[in-house]
Amino acid sequence: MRAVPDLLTPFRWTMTRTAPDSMTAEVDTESAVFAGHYPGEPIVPGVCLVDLVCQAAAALGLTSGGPELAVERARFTSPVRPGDRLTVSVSGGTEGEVRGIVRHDRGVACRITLRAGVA
Amino acid sequence: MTGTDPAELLPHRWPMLLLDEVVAAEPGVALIARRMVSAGDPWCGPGGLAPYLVLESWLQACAALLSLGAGTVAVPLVGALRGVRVARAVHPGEMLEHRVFIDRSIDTAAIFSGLALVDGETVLAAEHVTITITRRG
Repeated sequence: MRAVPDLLTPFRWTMTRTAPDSMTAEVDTESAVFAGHYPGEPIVPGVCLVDLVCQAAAALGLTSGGPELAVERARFTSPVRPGDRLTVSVSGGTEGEVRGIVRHDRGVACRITLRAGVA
Repeated sequence: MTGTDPAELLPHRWPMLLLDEVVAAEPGVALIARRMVSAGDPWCGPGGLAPYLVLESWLQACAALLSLGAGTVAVPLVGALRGVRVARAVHPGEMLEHRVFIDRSIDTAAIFSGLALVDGETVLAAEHVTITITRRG
């Protein structure tokens, strides 16, 4: 357990590459996020999964890592909880899109399409 | 209604409550909320509040409007996003003003659109955002 909670970054995603287009990451059970999202009902904010896909896409060289965030489409289908082991699959789509799918042990958590030129 | 504490409308708490004040609202229709970004705030690093957290703050304004219409504080979950752009991070000393509109409501979900402004500059534009609420318990 940490003496001082990390309040700079909601989740410091540590990703391990498991395939050319896939990475794994684990949801930090100690993240300070869960104190407030939500008390008694910890759920990873959907925006943090957008951040995860952005980071995975950048790590795989599919995006430039610029200052702008552009989400073409995203669908969140199953909440992500503390300790979940996530698999992130990212691929380049047509017309400069990047498509990401985040899965946990219970199935697909979300599908997110970013605009590659800016995200 | 004006000047409402967002904590009365949202289940979010420190360090994930990213709204300061609801400045105007018409239940079921539209809401304006503000967030002053300050150094030392949670998640405000050297680069300011990152774009995905600017989006979280804006989504909380949507959830506050949904709670107003429902007459209860419930757990909101983002269901879908379409056409959402955040131009940049927001820096300490900048005031975010969120303007959110309900385009359609269906039972315990609603579809929103809107903007976030910093001193008249559009830093976020969202075309179509679905948020659902689930009852606690």
